[in-house]
Amino acid sequence: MKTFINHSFKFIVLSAFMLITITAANAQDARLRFDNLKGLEDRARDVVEVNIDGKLLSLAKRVLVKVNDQDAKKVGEAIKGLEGIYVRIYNFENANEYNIADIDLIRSQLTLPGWVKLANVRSKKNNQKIDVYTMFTGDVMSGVAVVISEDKSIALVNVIGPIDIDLLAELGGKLNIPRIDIENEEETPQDKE
Amino acid sequence: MKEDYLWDKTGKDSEIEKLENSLQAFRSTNTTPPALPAKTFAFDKGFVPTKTARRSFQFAFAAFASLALVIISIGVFQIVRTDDQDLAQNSAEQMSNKTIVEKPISVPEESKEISEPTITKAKFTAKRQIKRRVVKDKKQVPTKISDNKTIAKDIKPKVVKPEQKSETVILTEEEQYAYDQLMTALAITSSKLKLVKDKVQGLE
Repeated sequence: MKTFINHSFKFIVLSAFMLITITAANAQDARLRFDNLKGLEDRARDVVEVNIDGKLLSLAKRVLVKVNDQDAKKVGEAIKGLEGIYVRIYNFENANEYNIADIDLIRSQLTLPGWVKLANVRSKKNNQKIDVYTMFTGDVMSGVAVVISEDKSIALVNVIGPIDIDLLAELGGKLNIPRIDIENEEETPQDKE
Repeated sequence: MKEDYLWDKTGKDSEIEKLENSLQAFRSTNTTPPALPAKTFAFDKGFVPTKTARRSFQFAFAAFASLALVIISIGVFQIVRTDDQDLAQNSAEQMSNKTIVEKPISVPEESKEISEPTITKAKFTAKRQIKRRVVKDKKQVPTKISDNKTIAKDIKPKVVKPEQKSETVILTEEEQYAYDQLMTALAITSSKLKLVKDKVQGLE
C-alpha cells in the first residue's frame, strides 16, 4: 500500500511538473526573438524599445485597478490576460539603411507551427510590408505579432497572452492611451525640417 | 400513659410496667449505650492524578474560562449597544413628540365652561404653557439631533469622500514607470494594429 501511495505521489508531482513545463513552453512560443536586431540600434535615428512583462506588467495592472476610473477599468479589462508586450521601432535617416535579412529572420520565426497569418499587406509605396500573425492555444489567443517594414522604418510588436485585437486597436487616443499615428509622423513639419 | 416514664423512668406508669415485665425476656443485658459509628470516607489510595490529566484539566478549565469571558463580554457589549440604541430612539421620539406638540395648540375643555373674560385668560395661559413646554423640550433634545442641518453635514462627506479619493491616486515611482511603459506599449500596439486595419479595409 505504501509503495502504491509513493508511486502515486511521484506520478502526480511528475505530471504537475510536465504540465507547468508545457504551459510555460506554450507561453514562451508566442515570444519573438529580437536578438539579431541589436546592430540596428546604432544605425537608426530613433529607437523605441519597450519591454513590459512579469512584475512590471503586474504592477501596471495594479495601478489600473488602483485608479478608480471608468477608462482605466476598460483598459484593465482589455489587458486582463496579457502576459507581455515587446515593441521595437527603428526609424532611419535614409532608405535601405538596414539589412532586410534581419527582418526576414524575424518573419521566419512566424513560419513556425502555431502561428497563423491574419493579415498580409504589400505596398510599393515606401516598399511597405505588413504582416500580422496570431497564435492560438486551443480556442484562446496566446499571442500576436505585427511586423511592419518600410524603406526608412521597422516596427515590431509582439503581444503575449489573450487580448482583444479589435478593442486594442480602438483604444489608442480614446482612453488614457496616447494616440501615436505612424502614418502622419512623416508628414509633420518637424520631420520635414 | 405517662411520657416521662417512657423517656427517663420518672413517676409511675402501670401500663408500661406491664409491658416491660412481659417483654423482660428480650431485655438487653448491655447497659452501656452503643457507640456511634466512626465517620469513614472512601478514598482510593491508588489514584494519583497524572501530569497529562492535570494538563488536560488545566486546558479544559482555561478554555472554559476564556469561553465564559467571551460570552460575558459579548453580553456586556450587546447591553451597552442596546442602551445606546434606546438612547438614540428616545431622543428621536422626543424629537417627533416635540413636533407633534408644537402643532395642536388647543384650548383646554375646562376653559370653555368659564365665562368670556376668563376664557381669554385661560387661552393665553394655555398657549404660554405649551410654548414653555416646547422650549423646555428643545433644551432637552441633543443639539446634533435637534438640528437637521448638522446631521446633513455629518452625512454628506461620508458619501462624497470615496469619489474624491478616486480622483487623486498617489503612485510610487515604480508604479508610475510601469504605468507609463504599459501605456506606451499599448499606444504603439494600438496604432500599429489600427494601421493594419486601415490598410486592409482600404484594400478591400
